[in-house]
Amino acid sequence: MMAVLLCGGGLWAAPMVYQKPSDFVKSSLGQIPATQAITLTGSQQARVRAMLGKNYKSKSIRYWSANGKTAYILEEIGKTEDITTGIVAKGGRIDAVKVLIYRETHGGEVARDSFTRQLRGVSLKSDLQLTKNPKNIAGATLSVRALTKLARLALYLETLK
Amino acid sequence: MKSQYALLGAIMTLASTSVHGVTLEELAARLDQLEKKVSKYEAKYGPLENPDSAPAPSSVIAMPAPVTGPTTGMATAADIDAAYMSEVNTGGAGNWTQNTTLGGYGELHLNQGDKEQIDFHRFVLFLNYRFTDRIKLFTELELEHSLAGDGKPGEVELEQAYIEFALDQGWVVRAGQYLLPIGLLNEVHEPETFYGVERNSIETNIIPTTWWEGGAMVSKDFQNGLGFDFGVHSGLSVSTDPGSSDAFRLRSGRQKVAEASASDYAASFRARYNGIEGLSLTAFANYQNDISPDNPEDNSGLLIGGSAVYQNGGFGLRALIADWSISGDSFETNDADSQWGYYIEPSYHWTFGEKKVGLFGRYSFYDYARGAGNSRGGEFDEFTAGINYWPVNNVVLKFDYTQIESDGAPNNETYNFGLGYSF
Repeated sequence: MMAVLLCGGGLWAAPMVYQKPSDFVKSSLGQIPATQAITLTGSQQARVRAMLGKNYKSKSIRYWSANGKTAYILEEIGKTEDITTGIVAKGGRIDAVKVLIYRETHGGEVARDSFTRQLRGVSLKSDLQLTKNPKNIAGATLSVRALTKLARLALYLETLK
Repeated sequence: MKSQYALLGAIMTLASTSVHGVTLEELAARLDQLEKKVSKYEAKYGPLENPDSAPAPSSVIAMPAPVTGPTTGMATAADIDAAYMSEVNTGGAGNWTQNTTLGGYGELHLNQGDKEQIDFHRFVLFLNYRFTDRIKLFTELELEHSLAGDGKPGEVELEQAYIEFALDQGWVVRAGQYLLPIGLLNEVHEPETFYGVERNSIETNIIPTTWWEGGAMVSKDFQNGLGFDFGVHSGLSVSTDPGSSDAFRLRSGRQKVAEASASDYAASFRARYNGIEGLSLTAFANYQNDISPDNPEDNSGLLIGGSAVYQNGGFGLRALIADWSISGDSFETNDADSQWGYYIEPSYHWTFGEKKVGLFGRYSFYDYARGAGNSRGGEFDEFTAGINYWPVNNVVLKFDYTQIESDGAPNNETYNFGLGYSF
């Protein structure tokens, strides 16, 4: 094992890229439409803060719309690293969730379809909670929380665009 | 876009006026440089437009407007990927604040009944540093029982300090001082992640949580939900001195990697399965080459056990079993060669917006550290029931009632109140 460690360079794994962000947009919408952005106002920021426990990393958030669907690429920290997540929304509901880039070494179970599938069809209640929360995965609690927050954020952004 | 094209045009014009006396090679090199600059520019601000569709006035040089948010409009696949994949850290002069994370947890306990005490049991700080995307440092420093020093009840402890190396195909290696992959609480014990004020007695007396050792561990997760951890590390040093109140007590055998005996080795293995929604299973083992290196006997020890966690809606179930077999006359004659226990803990929680309330019950059985002079060991039945209230995910208020029964001793009853947080 030490030999592997000392070889350096080429052997190191990059963060796990499950799908490139551009491929996600293309496969979800059938094309790469023009990039649009929502710029959060002060009161909208406050609502986002209530959901995430902090401000979103940027005030403007990109999205892509086509064929009645909207694709968001959102990021939230699991334990110490951003989880880059693609979320497709349609008619106020989650249509698909896909973990695109996972950078932590533990908790990657959230990238599996059996987990993300649970969020399909979920919508937002008036208190900004999901109509159905996904089941926790022991050992991946923080990643589960991060993805749950991003699903709420995407559905909230749906109401703003 | 027009202004960007104008900028390019102007640069081209400037370039063309200074070619006199310049060799073709130099010119080629300058063009290469220019191409690189343009690609960088395009990566940052989007593609330059086709001159046929957007003729740009060549006499105007305009500075690009300051970018206040993400670029909108048509973007290539490369632009989109660059926005999310560009933050690759290769080490060196990285931004300290970006690469450092700070966290922690704490818990205050109040016991009433047969034990009357208030104690800030644990105050813990995490400090982690990312050297590169593949090499990271994790540390955990703890102050136990609030006050440390000679004759004081508490301790300052380094619980973890290891470097984690992420290799290809999901292999992860950690080296240093790390928490063993044994049981449910040993690695994850932030107070808001479990029910009950005090940690359960199996993962105190049988699995000596919090249990860390020095060594190395390799881990791997597979796509089908299976994963495993295997580590080789330092071991326990359990007293077999019949005059000691710590005799045969596994918990007191932790050397805590503090100038610890390294004449013998130990190893841990855990298999994990998370392939079914809501269900997590583990099987674990710990082997000690000699669990009591201070005595001339050969005392090899083997701990095997398993855990199950199930959650469906508000219903939750946690169960764990752990069983030690220790060889050698001193353990056998004192009835301490088999030390084992299990618990089962059903629970139910309700969610109200950000708030959560949960009720639980737990039955535990454990049999440990029997031996001459050891008044603390024995065989116990323990019943606990209580409530957790989470005003937000990371803060918890707890209450429970615990009754411990053992043959020949009066029941021990406590009412416990707890406050915990993590961040």
